[in-house]
Amino acid sequence: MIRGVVTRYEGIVRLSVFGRRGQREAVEAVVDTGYDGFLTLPPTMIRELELEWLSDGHAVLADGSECLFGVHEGEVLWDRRRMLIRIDASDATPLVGMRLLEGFELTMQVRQDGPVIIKRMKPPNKKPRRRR
Amino acid sequence: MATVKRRYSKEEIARRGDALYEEKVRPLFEPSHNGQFAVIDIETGEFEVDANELDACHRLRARFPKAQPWLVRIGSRYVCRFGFVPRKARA
Repeated sequence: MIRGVVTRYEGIVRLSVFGRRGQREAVEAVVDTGYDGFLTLPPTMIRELELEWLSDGHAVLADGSECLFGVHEGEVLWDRRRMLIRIDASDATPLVGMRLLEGFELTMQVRQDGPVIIKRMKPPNKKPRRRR
Repeated sequence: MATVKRRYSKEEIARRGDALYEEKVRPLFEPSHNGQFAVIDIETGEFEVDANELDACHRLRARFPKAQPWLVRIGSRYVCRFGFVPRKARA
């Protein structure tokens, strides 16, 4: 389970990102359900951590405009598991997106200092078929 | 995996990558693979397609270690949607 806190109308969680040389950086990120990637990090942090550049791509922004961005990869510690994920370069506050939240339940009490809870979901049980 | 540096501007990678997508990927993979990712080396025109973009990038890099890749989500103009407007996107 990941716990965070609502601060000024943003749900903020902490996670660790690992650099190419094993260095570990604690990151405070805003949970953003309007972002359909995994994680954004500012270019300065991507350079410091020497995260591998994979490609470039197009993104569409909230105002409908487009931008080009660098696609990188890196390992993060997310709910006590290390995962290799896509990391998108964006010169803004780090964001946790819907791909990183996949398989988790997100709850937030939207008030100052309200809790943000991200809980891993159990895989759906298949109900055994009843015999008649 | 050896580190590869960008040898072209982002705009040049986008221009050549989009042209290669239109020529080589779209006719074969739209709409059957919509939602998957295509990563295209803008120097050789070779590409990989996979539902997992990291897997596609790794396979392309294994074949072409110096690839200059452009990533596209098949059937869409965008790899992703940012729900905000960043100060600038420059990495």
